[in-house]
Amino acid sequence: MATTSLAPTKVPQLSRLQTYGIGAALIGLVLLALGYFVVGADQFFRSYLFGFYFTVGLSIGSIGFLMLQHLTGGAWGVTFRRMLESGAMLMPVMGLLFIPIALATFPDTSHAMGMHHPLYEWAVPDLVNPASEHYDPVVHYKQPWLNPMFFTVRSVIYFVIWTALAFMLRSWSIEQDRTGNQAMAARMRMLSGIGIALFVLTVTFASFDWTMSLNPHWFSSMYGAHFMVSSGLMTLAFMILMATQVRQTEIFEQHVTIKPFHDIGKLMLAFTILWTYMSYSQYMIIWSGDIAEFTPWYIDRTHNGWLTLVPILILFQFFVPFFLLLSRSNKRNLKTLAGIAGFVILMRCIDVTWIVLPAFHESILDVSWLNFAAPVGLVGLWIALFIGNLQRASLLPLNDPNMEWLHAGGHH
Amino acid sequence: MQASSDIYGVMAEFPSPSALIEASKKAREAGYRKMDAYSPFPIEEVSEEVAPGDTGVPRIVLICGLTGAATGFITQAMSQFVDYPLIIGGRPNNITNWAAMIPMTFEFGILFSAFGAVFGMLALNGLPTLYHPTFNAPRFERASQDAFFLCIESTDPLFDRAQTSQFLRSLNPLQVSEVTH
Repeated sequence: MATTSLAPTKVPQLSRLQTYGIGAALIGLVLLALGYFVVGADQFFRSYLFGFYFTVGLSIGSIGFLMLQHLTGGAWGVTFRRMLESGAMLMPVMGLLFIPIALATFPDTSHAMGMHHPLYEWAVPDLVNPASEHYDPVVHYKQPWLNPMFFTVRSVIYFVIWTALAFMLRSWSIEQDRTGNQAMAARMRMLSGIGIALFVLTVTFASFDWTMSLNPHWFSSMYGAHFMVSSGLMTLAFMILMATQVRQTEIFEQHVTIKPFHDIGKLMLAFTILWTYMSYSQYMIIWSGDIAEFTPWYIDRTHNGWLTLVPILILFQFFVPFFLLLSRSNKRNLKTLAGIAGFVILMRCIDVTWIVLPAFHESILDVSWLNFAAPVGLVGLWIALFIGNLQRASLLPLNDPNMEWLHAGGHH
Repeated sequence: MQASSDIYGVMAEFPSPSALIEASKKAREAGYRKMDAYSPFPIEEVSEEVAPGDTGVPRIVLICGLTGAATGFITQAMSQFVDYPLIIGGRPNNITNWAAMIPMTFEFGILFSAFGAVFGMLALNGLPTLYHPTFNAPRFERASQDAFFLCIESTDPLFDRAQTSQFLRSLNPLQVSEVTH
């Protein structure tokens, strides 16, 4: 195998897509800023949290799969590694984008930014003040965990861990491109083993913090796993869409057969089933238990119009992609696969809407237009920066020993 | 033609999976269709050359799976709503109770799919077969250990005893032999 230095791959289609990303970021973020003045600060931060939670899933899924493919090997791993690295490398950016959410959580700063209440109910001082008429003993009991300072510290820890993992894996991989040092592969595998354990813990707690605590009375041990699987599903779909953009490049034509796309199609099928399993199990356990502590979350999400999203999700986030992805020929045709992937991303948006927004809007009709601007702006920004990262290195880690998976035609 | 049908086919042994892939590609390019490959483990590229297209098993599995899921759901729904309604946990005895029935529906779907896959496969490939002409090829027992075989069958329209042997010999095999019935 060659041990020459690899040059970055430039792809014209990606540059065009980057322009669209910048466009979407500008439109979305300008509308979002406008909404701050027109609709109000409270709605601004709620929509921002919604957009952030949706977008950060792409980075979380990227770093998760990046570590997973270092551990498992396989043709799909080396094919998509550079894309996963590019997505994982946006962790520090997501950390910066988290700052407004932290500021909106502290009572003082949220007030200074024109909000009537802190973003999270548990941060309202009256709720934990026994003398107040709004006193909530349950929230008071949870105060040692759910308070603005510890909340912020925890999020900083998550982002530091994710950023450190992403930087190490990326820089070692780039060094391997430059020097052809085969020892890097073992080192990346070792780090991924430790990293994936940290990943599961941090992502679980992050989802508990960021959106489960919007209803501080409610908890579900499956919530973190659901977020992880959902992020994974969205990331797979996104990577398939990106693959259509680079499929025609010389380096892909030369090294990549249809096999890795077939494999990632199978993974998307598995994650579709896993998403359904997580969503359904959480519901069935709470529905069977029928305990007043757990049911309100579902009651909020099945009344005042929110129920309309449920059949849409069952049908289009499970049944339609499931049956389409069962077919071998659909998975081996990149155009069809990309069509399904685009559809999956759209359904991810509806699922996150259904999970997050009922915490803010009692009725589906109350949903503000700002909730559309936020994900458009943040995802646009994410895509623009992602492509910037992708163009900075060779599209395939050709010096990696795992490239043999591709050259051997993917024998297992 | 008279001579051709006297034998089952011509068998060539190859030293490695990649040699078998290469040979099956060349055989397909040469126009042979009635052929089969034998290897200790599945090699996807070879299947694509010697038996391209759908095996028929996926369709059987899908139909069985859907039948199973429907059976699972209807069995529960009929007994619970129609034949022997029981009020459990104060829940209404109608379709709004669907969530309770999904685990069994799912399990029935999986069970029937697995049956469909195993028995469908057996029905389509004719196993168990106690005697097969390929057993007459020398060293053929090694196909389940470390040897890779390609057999072009005499039912192929292009089959010619001498020419097909000649063709297989040109693919750098370890050995070529005629397989009697």
